[in-house]
Amino acid sequence: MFNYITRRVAVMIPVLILISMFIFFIIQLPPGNYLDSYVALISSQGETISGERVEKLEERYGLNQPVYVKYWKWVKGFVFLDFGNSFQYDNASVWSIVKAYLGYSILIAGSTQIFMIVVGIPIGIYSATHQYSFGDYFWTILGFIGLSIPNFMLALILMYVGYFVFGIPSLGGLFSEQYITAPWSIAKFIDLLQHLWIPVVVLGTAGTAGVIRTMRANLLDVLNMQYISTARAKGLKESVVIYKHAVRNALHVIIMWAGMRLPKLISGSTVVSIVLSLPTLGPIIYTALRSQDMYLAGTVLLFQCVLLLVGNLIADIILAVVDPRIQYN
Amino acid sequence: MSSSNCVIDVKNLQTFFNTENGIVKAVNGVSFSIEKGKTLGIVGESGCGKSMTSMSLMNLVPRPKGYIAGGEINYYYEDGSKIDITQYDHDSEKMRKLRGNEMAMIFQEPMTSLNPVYTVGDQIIEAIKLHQDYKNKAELRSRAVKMLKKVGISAPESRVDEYPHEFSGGMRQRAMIAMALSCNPRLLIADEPTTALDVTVEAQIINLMGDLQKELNMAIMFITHDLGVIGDIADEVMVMYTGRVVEKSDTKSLFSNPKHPYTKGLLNSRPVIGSKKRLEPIEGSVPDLLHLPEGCDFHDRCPEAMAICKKEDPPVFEVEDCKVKCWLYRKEEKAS
Ligand SMILES: Nc1ncnc2c1ncn2[C@@H]1O[C@H](COP(=O)(O)OP(=O)(O)O)[C@@H](O)[C@H]1O
Ligand code: SF4
Ligand SMILES: [Mg+2]
Repeated sequence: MFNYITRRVAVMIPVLILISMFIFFIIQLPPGNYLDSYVALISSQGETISGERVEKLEERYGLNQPVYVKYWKWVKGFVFLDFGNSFQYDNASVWSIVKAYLGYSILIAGSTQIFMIVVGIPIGIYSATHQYSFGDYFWTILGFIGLSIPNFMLALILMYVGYFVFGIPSLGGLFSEQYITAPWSIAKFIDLLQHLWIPVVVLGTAGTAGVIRTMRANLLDVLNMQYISTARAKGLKESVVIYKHAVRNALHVIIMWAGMRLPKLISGSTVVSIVLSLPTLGPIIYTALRSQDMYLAGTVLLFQCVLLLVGNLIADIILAVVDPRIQYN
Repeated sequence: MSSSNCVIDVKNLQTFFNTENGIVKAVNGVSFSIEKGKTLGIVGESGCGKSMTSMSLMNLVPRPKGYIAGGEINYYYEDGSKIDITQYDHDSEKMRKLRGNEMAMIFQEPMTSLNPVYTVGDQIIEAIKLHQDYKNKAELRSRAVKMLKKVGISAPESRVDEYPHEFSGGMRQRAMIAMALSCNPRLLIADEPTTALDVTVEAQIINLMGDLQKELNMAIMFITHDLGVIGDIADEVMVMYTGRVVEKSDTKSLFSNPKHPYTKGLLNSRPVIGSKKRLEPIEGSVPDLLHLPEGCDFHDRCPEAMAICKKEDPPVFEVEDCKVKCWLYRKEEKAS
């Protein structure tokens, strides 16, 4: 097992190098660069900018250098967490920007992931073991609604309900005002939880509906397998048959799906983060791509790829634990 | 019948399914009983209700669509007391104490009848733990090893820790038998246990079952769609068609003197080693249980069908100690 993990991590390094080239290539594709969009922005505001100044800026940002030089400038500092500088944030280091948002992004994505699984799997089990019952139909319909409501709408509804029905003030953000700059304390943590549930529910609802549906379908398949009859024929309690013999065999798809879901949770949270004013990477990558802030955009994309690879690795490890047929080599 | 040797006595069993298109009568008025140490063979083409008969005995008819609609299934304990299975909930304690302990079952598909995520040993131990008093791990394990050895698995001490996918089909079926017999059941239900295996393995498994039956003196209900298999193991044979029993007789006279046209058809469609006689499969196919023909269910495939067969369903006639559900035997009924 340990060897397996080491080998998998070792393989990830060349994969990441290829991905970084690919990302950089894609980011270079649109015509123009950061300065062009900057100049366009300035002139749209009715001001002009001298050619001399443009040249100066070009030099400062190294924008007139060939692609491979720019690429090298970007990757050479990776091991020291140096990902170059951002243009739009006045030449601040990309890492300092990413660092400020990465933790909360992972916190929100991770909590959402846990929420989807903890809520979705038991309901999926219930639906499968009570097929065609009232409860099964109820959850199926609720799941469809959850899948079809746009996230920003759900965010607005929850904020409305939270404020006017439960009287929870200032639902945007992750902290109440007095805690934003305060050092960590139990009170701050509780405040965080009070804010966290809204983005988690908003981001997780559609996924939860997916988990319910997948779990229900897989478990129904498994319940038709011969070994389930074998387990019942032994004299096991129905609950043991379901939880010990059936559920474990129905988890594969959900584990793999959860592994691929992590980066999607970060990019998918853009609109929700804007609506709820959350400090996540979603809005950052959005503005970075729009203004062709290439090092920042590339780095955030790269982090998403790392998350995808790590998510897959974790999923594979869990799968190997759940199912002994999966070989490590 | 309820002689002291009787293990299971089924009376007029009806097992139905509620489907969108109507009620499917998968088992429709089946009666039989099996004594200690004896084997009842059940034959019939696919879809004739053999598996649902056995699932009814285990009280494991697929819910929520399937249910036992009528009849009795009386199981007789060693001390002579009995329990009517149809009266108990499938998950009740009484049923759970019966399953795997008093009556055990092995299935058609050895490749899928063991759970892929647990070791073979753990699955056998699970059954032993449930019904027997072995408490510590070493005892349970050595009991599982002993069972694997008994069913002819070599190196059982190491194989006990292997997963099902490391076993061949024949070995998995042996392991299933080991699991089924681990609590010394008094009734073994085998639903086409050799259908998925090749011929040599089939013969080994049947011999094994015969040997273990002698050793444990258990009753066996042996289901197959292949008459060739049943001659070696069954004392009595019940032929099923469309959820009903069409002929029941002792094995010898079934082979030497088959009475029902369906039985004759099954015998003629069976390859006999060394014989050059052409195989004659029964024409047509099993009718849809929702659209059974008028009269005798078999009449549109029957080479001996008469006028009355198209109008009236035949009752069961007794002929020379056999039971036959066919109008051809009406005269004999009157004479006796
Ligand atoms: N889950 C089910 N739902 C509806 N009908 C079923 C189901 N299972 C079996 N049946 C019906 O019961 C009949 C008998 O099935 P089965 O006992 O499995 O036949 P056999 O074992 O003789 O091949 C089938 O022809 C089918 O119509
Ligand atoms: S009753 Fe008639 S149709 Fe049915 S099996 Fe007998 S002869 Fe054939
Ligand atoms: Mg069957």
